[in-house]
Amino acid sequence: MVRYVIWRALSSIPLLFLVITVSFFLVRLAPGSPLARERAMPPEIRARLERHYGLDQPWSIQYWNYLRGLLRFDLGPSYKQKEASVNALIARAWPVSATLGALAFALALLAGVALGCLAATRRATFTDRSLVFLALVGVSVPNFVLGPLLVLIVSLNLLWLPPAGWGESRHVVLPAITLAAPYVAYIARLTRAGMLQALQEGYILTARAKGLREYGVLIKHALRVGILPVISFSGPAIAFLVTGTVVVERIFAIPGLGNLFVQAAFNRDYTLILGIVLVVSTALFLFNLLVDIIMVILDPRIHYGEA
Amino acid sequence: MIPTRCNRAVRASPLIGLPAHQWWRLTGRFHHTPPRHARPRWGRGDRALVGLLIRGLMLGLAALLGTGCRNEGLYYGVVKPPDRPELRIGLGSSPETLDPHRAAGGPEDAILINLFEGLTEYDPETADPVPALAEHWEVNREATVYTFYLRHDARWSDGEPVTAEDFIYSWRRILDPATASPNASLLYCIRNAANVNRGRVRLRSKQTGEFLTDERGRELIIEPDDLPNALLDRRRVELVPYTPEDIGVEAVDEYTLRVELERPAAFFLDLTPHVALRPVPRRAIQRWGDQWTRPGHIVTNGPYTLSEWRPADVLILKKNPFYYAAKEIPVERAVFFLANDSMALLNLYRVGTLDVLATGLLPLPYIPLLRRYGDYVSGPYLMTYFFMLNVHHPPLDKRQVREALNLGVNRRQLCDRLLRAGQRPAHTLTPGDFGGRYPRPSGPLFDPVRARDLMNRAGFPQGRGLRLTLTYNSLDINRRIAEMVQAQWQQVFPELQLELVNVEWQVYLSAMREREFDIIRRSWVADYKDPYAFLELMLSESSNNFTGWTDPVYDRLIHLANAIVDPGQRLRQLAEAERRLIEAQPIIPLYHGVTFFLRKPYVRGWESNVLDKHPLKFVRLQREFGETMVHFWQPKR
Repeated sequence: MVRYVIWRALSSIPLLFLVITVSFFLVRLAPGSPLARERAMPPEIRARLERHYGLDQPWSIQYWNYLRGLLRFDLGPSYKQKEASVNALIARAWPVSATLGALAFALALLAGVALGCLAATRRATFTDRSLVFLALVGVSVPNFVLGPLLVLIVSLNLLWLPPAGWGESRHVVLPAITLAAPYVAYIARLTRAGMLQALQEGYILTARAKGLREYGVLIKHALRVGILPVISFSGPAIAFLVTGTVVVERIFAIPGLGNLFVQAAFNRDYTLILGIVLVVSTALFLFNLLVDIIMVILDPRIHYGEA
Repeated sequence: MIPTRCNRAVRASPLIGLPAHQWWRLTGRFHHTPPRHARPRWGRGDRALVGLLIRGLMLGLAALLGTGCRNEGLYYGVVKPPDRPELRIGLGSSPETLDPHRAAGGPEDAILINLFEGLTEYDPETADPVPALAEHWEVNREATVYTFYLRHDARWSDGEPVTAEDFIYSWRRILDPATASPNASLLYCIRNAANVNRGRVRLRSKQTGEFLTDERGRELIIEPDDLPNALLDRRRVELVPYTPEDIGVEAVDEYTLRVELERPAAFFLDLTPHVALRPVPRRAIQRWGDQWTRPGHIVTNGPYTLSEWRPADVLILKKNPFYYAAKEIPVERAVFFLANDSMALLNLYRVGTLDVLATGLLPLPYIPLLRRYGDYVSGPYLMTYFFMLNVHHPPLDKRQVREALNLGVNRRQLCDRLLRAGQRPAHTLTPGDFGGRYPRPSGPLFDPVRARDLMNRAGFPQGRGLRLTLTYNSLDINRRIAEMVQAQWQQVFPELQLELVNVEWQVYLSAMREREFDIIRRSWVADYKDPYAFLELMLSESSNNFTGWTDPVYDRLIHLANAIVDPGQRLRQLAEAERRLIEAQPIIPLYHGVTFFLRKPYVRGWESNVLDKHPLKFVRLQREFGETMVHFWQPKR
């Protein structure tokens, strides 16, 4: 197990390197420049700025310098936010996205699993059918529809919660719900399917035969296996949630990583784009690894590295 | 029953297409009586009950989804003055920097004018310069030397006095090529400023120690690009680069600043309130280097100082206790919201979290709705939206074709049908909003007959054989304008093939820079209140003239005009130059812009002006303005 984890960690390094290399050249291939603006600067001043940021050098040298910075965990200066470094910008935006994402994921997990169990135990009843229908709706309604709808009802008409912004706890509610909604639906469906399958297994019969209470059978025996598809889904899901979601952060004007990323892409802020790509891919890798470890703990049938 | 006064609001809601009375009809009883056999089996009472239920449901839904009746009326959304003397402003995108010398304008200016105070300040209503740090000033007869007398009680927020030395340091800094300021060219009218900023070099004789001059007595100057090719006898001549110390500013005494200009520039005073000419804190910059603009490091001399800055979130200013008139400033704190999404900002304004929503942030489809409310403020703006034509691309090199295209645009329709916020049709590059002083030439009006005739004579009858592209950056408004002009041209020249090229912002910028376009959209906002702020755009040496059109006569007319001391005569001469520009037609002006912003009724002093500048020190809050007062105000119709 330990050997497996170490192997996975080591194998991620060339992968991240590849991601960085491809992104580095892709952003430079796109037309435009971080120094371009609507009012053109005199050529002398533009040349001086390019020299200042090292943008006048050939790509190979820029690439080499960037990699050298990476070894020192220095993601470079932002070309657009003149006084800020990429490290500082990400350090500021990441906790915002992480808070929102973690809350949304907690909500999705709690509500999704609970509803999924409910549907599985009440199989083929009215409750089950309506939950399945709701899940379908939840998956199909995009968040750029749900978000403004929630704002319209809860903020603009009822004046209960702020329509946008960040900083207080009441700012989190609407974006977290918007963000969680499709995940609630998807997790509910996964849980329901997983539970239905688990409930047909022989050990459930054994558990029931031992005379365990139905509640205990469900939680201790069925859910432990039934939730496995949810766990494996959670890895990439949580990675995407905590690294910022472009649409929701924009609708609710949240200063998170997703918003930062969109702006960086529009501005061709090369270093900032690369920095965020690096953070997101690292997070994706970490959460996938974490999920694999949790799977081993939950399901004794899974083994790694010993085959 | 839905109250009738809500009808308008419900109809205006983007979600509910039906007016309230039609919603009502949906739930109401049928008007005809169905035949006996078709009548439902339930009794009359049941039907009434079900009807009531449905109506209740619909009513609830309408109340939830519609714009609602609450707080609706003469003002858009909640009108509730803030509890403390604080102004909350929706600003849009985040400033890139708070260093006035590195900022390129836009959102930065709105903040910087409150942090730093210059010789003069923008008048909140006219945008004319009014005395600020300079209590009064003198100009010599030739308009080449300006002497500013600074007030003695002005202080930086670290307690040090603001002196003439601060201005000298700041102007040297912005012109220093090492600063690479995008706004440095605004100061080029100061003596030697351009030479310093462009890194030019003069020649000094080693024998006499004097600078070499030409036959007219002017110093010989070499451009840095020409240096490698210059044939010089290095034993007799030495190269002396211009240094920032060479610019024409000096401190007569601690509180007297003398500025010598390169040539007469009647617009210099209009330039003085510009952010680029405001002083920066010498000691803080020397101490902190690039990091001097951080909260805690920054030192300001304006009415406000930086309290907090969270990028993409909020920027908070608080009153500068060292400001000379701090006691007279009513707004203690200003919070700028830096969200990019205009819908989010509009929602924040509506629930009363914002007091002001700045120009340019209202979603276009909402303008006809918002115009009806008392919050909507609008006025002329020194901004022109126009097309640049690439005169190197045939057939746009033919003046007749350019003129025909220009005559084929119906600007009135554009302004009245599409833009609808009071924009004015533009026939010239320069708007007429200079207090009526500028004798703007009259441009050609919409004339389809003449347009067709010209096109025939140019060899493209009905536009046959004419293939052009029109490039714009992907914004809704640009797309709609391009489509409307395309349709107008299609009517005048039925066989014209015009391809609309919708590209992303950066692609648009590089297409412009590389001149890879036939026709490209452009807009220009004046930096200062003078026609020259527009006309300099089309000079041959301008780095923003992408048309390829250059005209030495135009350049000479402009430079001659700026040398004229008499303001009226100077403006007439500028108008002469502009007439020449219009005749050559390298551009197709479309409309002159307007400022349009939302302002809660208790905010005073944030007024519409032609430069859209809003110094906070003039803003007052009528905090006694209660919610009850709202209903006594009459709406705009």
